[in-house]
Amino acid sequence: MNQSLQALVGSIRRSLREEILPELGSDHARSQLAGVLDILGKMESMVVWSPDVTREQLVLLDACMSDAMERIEAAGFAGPVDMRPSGTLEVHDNQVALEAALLDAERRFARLSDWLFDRPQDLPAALRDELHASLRTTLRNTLKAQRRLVPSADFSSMTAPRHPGGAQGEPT
Amino acid sequence: MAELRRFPAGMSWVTIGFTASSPGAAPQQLILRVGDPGGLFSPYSAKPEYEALTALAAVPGLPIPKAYAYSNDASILGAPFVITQRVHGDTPTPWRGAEQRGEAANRSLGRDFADALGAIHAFDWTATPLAEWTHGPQGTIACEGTALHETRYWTAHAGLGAGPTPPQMHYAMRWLQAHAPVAQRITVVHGDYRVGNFLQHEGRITAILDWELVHLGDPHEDLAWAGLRTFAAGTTRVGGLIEREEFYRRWEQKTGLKVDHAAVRYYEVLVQFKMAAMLMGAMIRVQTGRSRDVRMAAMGFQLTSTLMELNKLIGEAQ
Repeated sequence: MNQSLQALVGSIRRSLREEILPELGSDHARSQLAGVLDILGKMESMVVWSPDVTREQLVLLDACMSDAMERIEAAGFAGPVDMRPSGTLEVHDNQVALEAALLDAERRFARLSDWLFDRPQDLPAALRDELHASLRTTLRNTLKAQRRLVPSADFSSMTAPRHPGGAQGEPT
Repeated sequence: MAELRRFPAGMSWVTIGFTASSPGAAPQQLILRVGDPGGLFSPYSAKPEYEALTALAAVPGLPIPKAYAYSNDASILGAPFVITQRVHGDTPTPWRGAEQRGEAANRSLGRDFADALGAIHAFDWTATPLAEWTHGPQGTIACEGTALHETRYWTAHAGLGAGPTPPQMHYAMRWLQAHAPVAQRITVVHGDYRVGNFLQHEGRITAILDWELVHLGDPHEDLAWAGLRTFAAGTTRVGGLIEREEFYRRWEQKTGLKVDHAAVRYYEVLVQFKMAAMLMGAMIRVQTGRSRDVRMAAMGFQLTSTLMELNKLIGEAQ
């Protein structure tokens, strides 16, 4: 699940238009901000995340699920049902198709997690531990891929007063 | 009312300082906190914060602001609100600054930090209006089941299952359900006890603030939250202030309880899950237009690293 870039740009526009614009006293600043709002409005429907990351996450999840199903069946157990992908992905599929496929893979991964947690007694402990470790490693690797999209946010700046000396008596 | 000033800090309640005057009485500096309908944990009720501050005012030496009034009647100010005493001091940030404060200030603040938490957890709430809180939003709160209650609460806040759900969150939710411990004692839990949520003056805590998440539960939740790496300002100390062993020792002296290290590890997972749920809640608020605060969109960018930490903590708690 990645944050929607379109929604993100939309929220920046709303904040600038409704929270910042009414506070501006300078005509020059207002005209500059009007220009920024116009550009952001045009960009809003154009921006998407890199499809490479979505594809990488998809490959990681599918590989883990396929491996887990093989191990479960090899041990003589029937794994969770309905684990097949809902469609076939082509190399040149666009970001919309990739995101739909990732969503589908995430739902199947949740079913596999549920199955694993629902059967603590049935499964041999070694297999259960291996499967849990495999799922956690896969989750970590998908998050590592996702993190490449994300710069750090500076919350200190967002919650600090303008003058450090003015902090006296200010609660959070 | 005069000298109204909105403070920039916080992403939840709107905090306004003001001076109240009435004929024949000295002016009073007060704080008005308003539960913004678009805020991080909305919809709000001002009642828990008011009731907690009022009940805990009886605890000797616990530095909290005096609560004067509250209302959930939106016809008055448009949203729930609470009015408290304004306490002087500044707010250390949880993300940096531990080294600049100096060792002496860190030491005294760390001791105050541990002792105040111990005082909150030692408080006997059973004969106060807080006893009503055992009927929690997700069912009855008791030693057995309080961890599951919190898990359900934050699952609902994150909207898990109602829309796209990060698989790490789903896995963590199931892990929390499978490993929930029984609490030694149900206490008042501050819910957001950390550096950044108290005022200090010259190395002493002058007020514990931000009681909006106060509830009844397992005190290990506060121990785990206060001790998260996120709030340690890059140090190994709790909140960047105090060594973990000393923090626990002082807490044990105040409460008469023993720290259950397995419970702390469980609650470290739970509070990290809670943090991720808060971030998801912020993302949902921005994406659905319920909030205009762009800082909440920035919070969404923290979700990935928060989930990575969640993954790590589950591995450590195995």
